[in-house]
Amino acid sequence: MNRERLKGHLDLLLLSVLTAGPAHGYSVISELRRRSEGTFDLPEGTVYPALHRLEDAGLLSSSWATADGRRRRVYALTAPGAAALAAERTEYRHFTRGIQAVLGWSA
Amino acid sequence: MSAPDGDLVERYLDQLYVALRARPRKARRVLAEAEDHLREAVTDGLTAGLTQREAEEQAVSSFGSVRAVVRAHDARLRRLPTVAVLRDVIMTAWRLGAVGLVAVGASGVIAWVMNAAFGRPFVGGAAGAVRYPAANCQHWLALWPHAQSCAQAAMLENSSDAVTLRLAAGVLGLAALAAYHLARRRSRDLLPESFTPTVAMTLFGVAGLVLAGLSVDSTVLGLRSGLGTAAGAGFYLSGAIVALVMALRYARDLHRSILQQARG
Repeated sequence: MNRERLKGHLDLLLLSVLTAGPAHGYSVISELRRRSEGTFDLPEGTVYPALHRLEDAGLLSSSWATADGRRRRVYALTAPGAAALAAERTEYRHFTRGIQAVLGWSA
Repeated sequence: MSAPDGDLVERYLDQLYVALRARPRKARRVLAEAEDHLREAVTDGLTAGLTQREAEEQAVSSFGSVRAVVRAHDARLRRLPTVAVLRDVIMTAWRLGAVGLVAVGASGVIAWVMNAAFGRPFVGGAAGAVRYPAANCQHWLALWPHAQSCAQAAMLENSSDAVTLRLAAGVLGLAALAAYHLARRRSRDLLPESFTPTVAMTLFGVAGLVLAGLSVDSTVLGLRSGLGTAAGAGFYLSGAIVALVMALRYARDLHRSILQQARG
């Protein structure tokens, strides 16, 4: 998939993955790849700035944890993040319906 | 200590460390997350049957080039919301304005002490011959009926204003500070920690030096004109003392924030 097109939806996808519960970056990115069956193939290191941006916007929170002797940042969806995700989902559903209607595909 | 030649992850992290353009705390976070990610990817690769070398190559390759990762972080920093930065600047100006008014109030207290300790001419006097407009003289003499001349009434008015008007400014400043604390929301700290102390130290420092200069000037003029200390040096000196104390206080804050930044 075109990387630039994916970037436009990355926030929605990351928030969506974190609805399952708090997770660290590697786990979020692995889950994103697993759910998309390999379609979403961004350089993994470029996903972290998106996580940081979502945290800055108050949609995610994060804290340090230790695993295997290494520090890792664990991200969690905040209440504003859950609300933003719900709004994004609704908007995206309308958008895809519109696209499907124009392309002549059944919803 | 240099990375082992064969450890691609270490080499990658070294390159990322050199290329990152971020504050120390931010850089440490980016590096810690990158290392955790790469080590876990290597472990997964080994579990999947890859050799150590293959697992490291795959982990580094999937993470993206150092250039791409740095560019992504730079792009995020460039996208710092202008409105949020502007809001932080306005909030800082509000806070410093309020602190400035409180400082003016404090100088009013010092002027009051100077009036009591050194006499009103020390604060309200004027060096040299000053011509006052007749309307002003009439007003001041009405306010100070015991004054024996317009110049004396002007001096009394000046020394009184130096206290009351400044105290009023101080009260206004306290109200502005209280409003600031009520209005302040949890900010994202977009401005560098040293921003406020740097601006405040500069403003208070310049104000203090200018006021101290004016105070010296008044003293010299007073000595030359035979008025001695009755030439209003206290009017400026009271402000200079507070401004310089505030400048020192913010210099201490700046020093502390620089040390914190150095420690990361």
